[in-house]
Amino acid sequence: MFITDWVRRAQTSVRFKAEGGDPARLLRRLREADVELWQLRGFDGGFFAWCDADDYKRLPPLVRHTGMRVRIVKKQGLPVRLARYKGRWGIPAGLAVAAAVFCLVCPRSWVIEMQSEDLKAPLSPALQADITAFLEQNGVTVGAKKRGVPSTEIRLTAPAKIEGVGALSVNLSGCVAHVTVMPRVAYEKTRVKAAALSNLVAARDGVVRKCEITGGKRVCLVGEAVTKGTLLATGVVDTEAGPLLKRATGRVLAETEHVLTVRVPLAETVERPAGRTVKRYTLSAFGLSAPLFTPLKTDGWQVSKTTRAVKLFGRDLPLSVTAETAREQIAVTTTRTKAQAKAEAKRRADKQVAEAFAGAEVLSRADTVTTDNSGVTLTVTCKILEDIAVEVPAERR
Amino acid sequence: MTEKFQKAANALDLDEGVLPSCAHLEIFGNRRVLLDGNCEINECGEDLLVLTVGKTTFRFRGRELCLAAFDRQSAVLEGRLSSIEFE
Repeated sequence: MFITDWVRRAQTSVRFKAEGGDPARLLRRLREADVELWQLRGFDGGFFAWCDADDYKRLPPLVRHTGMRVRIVKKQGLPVRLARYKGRWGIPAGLAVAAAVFCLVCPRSWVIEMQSEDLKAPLSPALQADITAFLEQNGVTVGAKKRGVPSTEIRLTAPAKIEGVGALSVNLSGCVAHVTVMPRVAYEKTRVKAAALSNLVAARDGVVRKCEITGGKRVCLVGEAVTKGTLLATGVVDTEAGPLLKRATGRVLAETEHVLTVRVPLAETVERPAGRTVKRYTLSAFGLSAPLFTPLKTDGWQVSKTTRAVKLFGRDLPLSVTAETAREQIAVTTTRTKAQAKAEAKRRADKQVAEAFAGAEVLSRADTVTTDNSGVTLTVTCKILEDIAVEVPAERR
Repeated sequence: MTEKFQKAANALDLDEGVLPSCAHLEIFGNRRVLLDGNCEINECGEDLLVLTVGKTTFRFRGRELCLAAFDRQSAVLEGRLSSIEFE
């Protein structure tokens, strides 16, 4: 009944009124002609009934000679409702455009969301740029078709091809490509499980000045010269009950030698901001870009871009605004005397030493200056007291 | 012919409904009646409906009577029935 009702609503049906004449004769004729009627209600002299529109068209010859008058009192059905919009081309055109956009938009990815699995190690802009370039080479771009993205191949080759990525996976959900990245952890900072066996080895060459071993057994001696990889402390400790396996932990301060070179030319051309700055905006949607500015030559200008995606309820939309800041640069030639070049070289060398050996003690420093016609070269030889111990996991045998 | 069919049905202990030109009536309370058979409407009004199936004529009396469905093989009658007469 439910299904029949909805099928009838989809088709055109009419309610007609038949009056006058012989109703029983008409009904008999209708029955013989296989005209299906429903909701037939009689009244004095006639009846109301529903029938299909096609069946109603067959009524005139059947009604003839019965003396009855038949007229339509109501029409219903989907074609009747749609006839109301006949001539309004905007509705079907809009539906066609919506269907076309739906077919074009849905099979493609329009947003690439990148996130790091390690909350303590967010992705740096340089790493994000490397990952974006790698994904573009493998067919994951804004507007790319979802079918055919080699997710397995990307997952297997990304750690080898991108420095700084330990694992990478691409999951396509709707029109968003979720890129999950596990940053690669430096070997020296690998955390060893608490119950594992590990040793302390030297990270570089040096002379041991101080040993502070807090776990395991010390192997090196104070005053001993060690090379990179030399065992400093072992996690295997011999006891009366047998060898005890534990983690070797601690600090080994050693005197190491580092050489830094700084060169300062006598005539140097650097680019300095001229003072003129231009900001330009570009709107991007579904992979297409529309510049919101008039063209301007910015050759030689320093250009920086920041892209911000439009968000809705915290989710990125396939719309973004790129702000491009261009700063005009002028070339400034700086000429120095040899004394000025030496001073500049020393300043730069001091800065490099301070940055490179921030956590260590500089025991001694020897600066060697070499001067030629084009510039000054400052070679800094530093002796540094630093912790050279690095924990590495050991295998049980 | 109908009497022979009836005798054969009785002998084989079959339901009378297997006989041709035999009306099959299903009544649901006093609101709905299903009628199977070659139906013919003799009279239709709001308080009286007369249907003929084969040799049997049914008079349905009541209020707000209507044929919810009607075709050659069956009919569905709805309304508030007060009586059914058989002829």
